[in-house]
Amino acid sequence: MIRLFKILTVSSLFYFSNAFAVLEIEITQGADNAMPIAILPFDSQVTGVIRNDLKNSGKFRLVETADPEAWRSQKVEGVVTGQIKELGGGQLQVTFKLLDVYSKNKLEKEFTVKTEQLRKLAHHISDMIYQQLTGDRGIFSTKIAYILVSERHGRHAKYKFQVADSDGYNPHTLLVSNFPLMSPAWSPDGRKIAYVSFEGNRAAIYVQDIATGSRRVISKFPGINGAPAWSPDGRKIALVLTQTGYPKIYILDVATSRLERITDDWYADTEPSWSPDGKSLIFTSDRGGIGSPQIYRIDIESKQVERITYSGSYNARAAYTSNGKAIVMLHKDGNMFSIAEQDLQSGRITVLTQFGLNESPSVAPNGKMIVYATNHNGRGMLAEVSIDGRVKLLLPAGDGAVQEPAWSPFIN
Amino acid sequence: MKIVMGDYTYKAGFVFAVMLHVALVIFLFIKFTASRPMALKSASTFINATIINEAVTLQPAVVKPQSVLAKPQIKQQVKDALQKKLLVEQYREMAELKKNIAKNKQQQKMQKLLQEQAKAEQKELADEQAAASAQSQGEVDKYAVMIKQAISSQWIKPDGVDDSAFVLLSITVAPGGVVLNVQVSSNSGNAALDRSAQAAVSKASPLPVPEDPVLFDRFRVIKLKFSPQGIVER
Repeated sequence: MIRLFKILTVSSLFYFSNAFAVLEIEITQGADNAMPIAILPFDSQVTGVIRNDLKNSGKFRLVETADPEAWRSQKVEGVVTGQIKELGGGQLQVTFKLLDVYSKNKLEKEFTVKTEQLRKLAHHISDMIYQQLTGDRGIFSTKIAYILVSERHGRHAKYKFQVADSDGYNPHTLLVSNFPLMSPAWSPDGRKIAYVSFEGNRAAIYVQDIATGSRRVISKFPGINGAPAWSPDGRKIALVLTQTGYPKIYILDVATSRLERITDDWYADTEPSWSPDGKSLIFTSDRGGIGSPQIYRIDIESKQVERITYSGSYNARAAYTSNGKAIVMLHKDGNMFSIAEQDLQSGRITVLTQFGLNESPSVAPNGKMIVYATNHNGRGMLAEVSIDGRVKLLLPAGDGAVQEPAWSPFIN
Repeated sequence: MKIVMGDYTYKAGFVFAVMLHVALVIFLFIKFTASRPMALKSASTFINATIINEAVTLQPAVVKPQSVLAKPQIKQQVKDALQKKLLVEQYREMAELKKNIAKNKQQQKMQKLLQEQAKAEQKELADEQAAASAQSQGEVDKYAVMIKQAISSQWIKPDGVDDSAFVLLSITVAPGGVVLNVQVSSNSGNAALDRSAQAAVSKASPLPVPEDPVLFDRFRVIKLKFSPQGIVER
């Protein structure tokens, strides 16, 4: 009987293995590679910008060949071609095509632009290519705001409020001041910037419209008015005031100017930053020990505070990444200050910049890059690092020391 | 084991039974020739006791015409002869029966042996097949791992894909491993994940497949599931 049973099972196994003969393979691990793409030149300015954008994202490897056979052998996934035609009257017609080699998808667009808009168009094309091939929204059309401090032969320093393309090029000066400018913060729609100005040697928070240049004071209380941060819906601004003597976090309703105190204790709380859902704030506080600031989270509704960072003697200037799963901050372990990312679920810290004097990290709206200020050969410069720490770039900036860069949201 | 044991007991019992019968018959025979009246008496009781129905019905049929003779002596003689005849007949029948039974037993045994043999052969065959299939399954697994590696190394996994997302591809492979067709049989809802999977398969072509045509049959159509759970270590 047992024998018979065995025979039966053996033959039934046979039966089943034959019936389900289609092989199934599960693939969960991918290669940690940059994607090979080929960009065939059609206009030196346009292709130059696109090449630079895609290469600096760390997601792509440019393959320098126009030979389709070489594309195959080098596993090229995307081929970008294009054409540019003068229409007269300073108008240009630009067509571009992305051939997605393996999915046989094609992306084909035609634009009519003025000569001075070519760079902007090139960034836009980079965004489209990036999105098509990686699935993430590109940040090449976004902007970076920063303060440029220039010393002039013993005279007073000049503070310039600059807004540049995400690659550091094409800077525009929004404001020039003889007084310190600090803490630029983009509104979620990318149309306004809040910042701190010490005009008349008094700190005040201003909101300035980027397109028109018009501005207004939103906070000018005695003492510190600092570290403005827009809520995700753009209706509120979190800020730091010293109305009670100690720096505390407040939330200001932009429309009604109603002020609400959020933290209330004997410690110094500063640098508020909103969670993506707008329900809580993370901030820097010395409540865990004087001289050892750490990051805390406060629920706006319940005012319940929880400590987030435990690793390192100094953690400050934290901001959420776009998906809310991690924070990026200034982190000190031992004697070194670095830009670090902390996964909120595991608490694991990844140090992204190992060397140099780095400060003021600001996360790109797609969460893939971080811009920060760094000291390079004794000069404050703009730098970027990818969220995985693999790509680091120094960006061009004007004459002077770069301070407090802020990455804009997506701008439509 | 059980069957073999049962076989032995069966055999022993059979031999014992046959011997017992033979001994009984010899005993009876000797008794009959030794003393007739007793034998007659005992034979008659013997007949009454164990005679087969046929013999019983036969007896009156034979006796009746002879009883017409109506002579006591003749009657007795006839009766004796008859009894003797019957006895011989009975013996013959019994022998026949035993023979039949023995034959039957033999046949059964033969049948059983044949069955056993068939079973054994069947099992051997199944074992062989299982061994062969285990071997070929091992080969299939080996190539499946190689294919998995080849595709994984070409897969540039998009960031930020949900842990639960997956795409199913059905690919057609030609002998030699060239991928003829890549079809999305169930998309992930994430276009970047779908395209990255398709690209990975095409980039990995030709895939490592077995040269043996029988084995290769398993690789003509392959279902691939891409689910970005694996964390890529730098």
